[in-house]
Formats: sequence, C-alpha cells, structure tokens
Amino acid sequence: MTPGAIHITTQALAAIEPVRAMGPWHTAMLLGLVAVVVIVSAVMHLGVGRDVTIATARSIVQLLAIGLIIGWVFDQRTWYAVLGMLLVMSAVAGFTAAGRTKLRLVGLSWLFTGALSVLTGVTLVYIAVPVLQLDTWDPRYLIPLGGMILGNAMTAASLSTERLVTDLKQRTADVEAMLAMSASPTQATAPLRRAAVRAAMTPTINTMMVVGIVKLPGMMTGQMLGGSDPMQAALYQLLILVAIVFCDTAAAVTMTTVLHRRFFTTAWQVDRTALSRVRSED
Amino acid sequence: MRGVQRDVDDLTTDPDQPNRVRLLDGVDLTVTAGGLTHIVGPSGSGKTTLIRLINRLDEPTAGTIDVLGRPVTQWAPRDLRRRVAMVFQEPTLIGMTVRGNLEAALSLSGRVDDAERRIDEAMKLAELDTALLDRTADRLSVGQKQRATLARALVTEPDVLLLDEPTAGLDPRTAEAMLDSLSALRDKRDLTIVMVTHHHDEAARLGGAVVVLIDGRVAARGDAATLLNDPPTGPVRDFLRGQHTRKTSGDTP
Repeated sequence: MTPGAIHITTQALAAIEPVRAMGPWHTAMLLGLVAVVVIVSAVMHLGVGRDVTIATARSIVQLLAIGLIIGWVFDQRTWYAVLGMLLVMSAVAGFTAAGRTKLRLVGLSWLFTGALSVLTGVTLVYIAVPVLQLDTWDPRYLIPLGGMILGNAMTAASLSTERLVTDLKQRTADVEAMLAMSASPTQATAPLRRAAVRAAMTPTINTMMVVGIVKLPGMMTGQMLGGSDPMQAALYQLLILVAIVFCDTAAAVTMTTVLHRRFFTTAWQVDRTALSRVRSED
Repeated sequence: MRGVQRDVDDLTTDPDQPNRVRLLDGVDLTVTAGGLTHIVGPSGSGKTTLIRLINRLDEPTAGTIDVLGRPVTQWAPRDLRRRVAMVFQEPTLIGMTVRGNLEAALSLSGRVDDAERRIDEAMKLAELDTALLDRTADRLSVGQKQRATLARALVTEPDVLLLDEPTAGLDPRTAEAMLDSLSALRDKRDLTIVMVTHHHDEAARLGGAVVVLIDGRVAARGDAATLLNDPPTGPVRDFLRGQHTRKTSGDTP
C-alpha cells in the first residue's frame, strides 16, 4: 500500500468516470434555460409558458422518481427485482398502447401487456444470453435495454392495431368481397394485416436508414457521455436497433394476428358491432 | 343435385345493433332452383339485406334461411360461399390483375385443377375479352371491372349467383350490354340467379320471377311479365308504374 499505488488507481478511476456529477446547484442553473423559454413565450405571446413550466416540473418529478427506483433495483441486483421492474414497465406500456388504439374491447389492455412482456422478454433473453453472454441478471443492461425495446414495441403494437381497425372500417367492402369468395377472416384481412405491420415497422426502418448520419441516437450519446469508447457505443447502438426492429415486427404481427378475429363473427361475417366500438377522435 | 332452392322464412332483423337493423319484417319467400329471380323495390326496402342473408354475410335475429336444402346456420361458411357466389354493387377487385382475381377465387374454392380452362370459360360467360386478363383494376373501365367481378363469381362454378344491383354504377349503354350478358348467362348455365335491382324494367327485360319488397315486406311476387303488365293496386302499382324505371328515374310520382 504505497502512496504511488493509490495515485495510479485514482487516475484509472478518473479515466472511466468522466461524467461530472450533477447536484441541486447544477440543476438550478440548467433551469435557467427554461426561464428563458418562459420569457420568450411571454414576450412573443406564444402562450406556452404555463405548459413548459408544468412539463418541466413533471419531467423533474418523473425522472427523479424513476432514478430513485432504478437506483434501488441496481442496488438489489436480484433477479426478482429486475423481473418485477420489467413487468411493471410492461403493464404501463400495455395499458398505454391499448389506450392509444381508442378501441374498446374487453381485456385489450391485458392482451397488450401480455404480448409486450412476452415479446420483450424473448428479445431480452436473446440479447442477454447468446449475444452479450451476461452471466447474471444485471439490471445495468436489462433495465435500460428492456425499456427501449418495450417503448418501441408499445408504439408498434398500437400503430399496427390502429391501422388495422381504420382499414377494416374503410375497406369493409373489400373484406366482404373476399368473404363472399369463401375466404376466411384471416385470408380476407391478409392485405390489411400486411399493411398494418408495414406501417408499424416504417418508423424504425427509417430511423435505421439514417442513424448516425442525421443524428446521433440517444443511447450512443449516453454511452459516450458515460465514457465508453465510441466504437463500443456504436456497436451497442446497433444492438439496440436490431433488438427494436425484431421486437417491433413481432409485436405488430402478434397484435394484428390475435386481434383481427375480434372483428368477425364465427360465421365469418364482419362484426360491425365490434368495429363500432372505437372511440371517435376528438 | 337439383334441390337448389332458397327458403327465407319470417325474417326479422334486430333494431338494437348496428348490423342488425330491422330492414326485413316477416319475409317468407322461396326461390326456385335454376331460375332467375329479381328482387325489386325502392331504396331502403331491404333488398340488399335480403340477399346478404343468403350467403350469410348478415345474420337475421329471427327466422330461417335454407340454401340448397340446408339451413344457412348448418353450413360451414366456406362451403356455403363456395356454392353461393356474389357480385356486389361496387366492383371490388382485389388489388391485382383480372387473372389474379380469378385465380384467387379458384384457390379459395379449392378448384385448382384445370385453371386455364375454367378462367377461359368464365371470361366467355362474362363476355370479357381475355386480352384483359393481365390488366390491373386501375386499367379497366367501370363496366369491365363489373364484368371481371362477374367472371370471378362464375369461375368457381357456383350453384347460386347473387347480384346486388350489378348495373347501378354503369352508364345506360354499358348497363344494357351487361343485361344482355346476364340474359345469355341464364340460358347457358344451370344456375340459380337472385338479382337485386331498383330498375324494374330490367326485370321486364330479362324475365323470370319478380319479388317486390316494400318497407321490408314482400308486397307482391309473381312472373315478371304478368306482374309488371298488370300490377296489383296500391304501393306496388305506384312503385312499378314508373317512379323507379331507368328512363324516368327521379322521385316525381
């Protein structure tokens, strides 16, 4: 235990921990920018000052709360804390996605929750076991990756469902023409389901097309801020993009496959009662 | 296999559900096999609903519908619709070529053998030039599209053909030609045709049986020539005497 050895260790720590810790003072300074926005809003009569203030306050509360919770899960490092956290996230995503679709079908929120948790789980297991070869339930990987995969799958699930329902309402005549040709509901909706899955995948594919050219994605930026080698950050970004495109596709295919039958009777008739159970846009 | 007939007994549809409006009330009707039956009546009289019950696209809340000797509820949907084809008012070609549509119909009905001959025959029956087989829907006129949907309905050799105002979207000349084709079709094939129209002059022209629906009830029925020349008095006569013929279309009494 020589002084020299301690000195070297400190330097090594400094090299992998370059993030400047933010405290209350830093945060207060940061909010100065919000103050500028509020002033601009007032001067220009934009009328968004109140909303920006509320949004900022909400961001502070929500982010600090989630920071606290994730911090706790990180401290636990147990499989059940990680799994519990992922399941809660899935439920929030499931209910949010079901709400966005504006459909009123019995059990829809739980259906979304079930599908999203299973599909995100499968994706995460593939990422964790054969790809990253993690040997523990490390929350540092599983929680942020799971959150990103889940968030995107949630959007894909609701987008595809929404598109399917819109098309079913607008193209009922085409679907009935197919039914009259002795097609099953699954056969009659095949073109609509394909369009719905494509619609859900398009945003992710577009993101992948321009990633790194137009903007640096959040995760890569975050990793570089955290001191990672840019090359490693790029590879992790690739990892998450591939995981997202996989899980998005799986979510869209699953939801359209499971849900399309809800709009038909067992006698292969369009169930207009089910189709009419969509809250109108307002 | 000539027990081909449709019985429609005491049909009532439910006012409480969007797809079960009370459009038909106590209809009791038998359509003879191998013939042509026109369902005529003013708009909103339940004509379309009636034929949609025959291939079970809609469901009555009460009453029974027998098709080819069996209640529709006892048919597997696929089997029923393989035997009962339908042409809708709006030509609904699924986004591909005419050939693609006919092949899809064949494949759905499980008749994949001898496809070329069947397609050829259906095109002849619909009197549509086989040169149009490889055209997509956007490169066909409305009349050609409607003939293509007719060919698609015929290609599977159904026992019953339901036509829902097949000339409604066509200009007078194209409509005439379509009627000629339907008339020829009736002579060429042993097929039960049920055709909805609100132009009863079409019924006069093609002959066969006529059922007049008014406000969801059968107001009159009979042979086209007899019924149209000497209609019973009351609303049936009002309807048949002119308001809804093609030439004098309009709402003037």
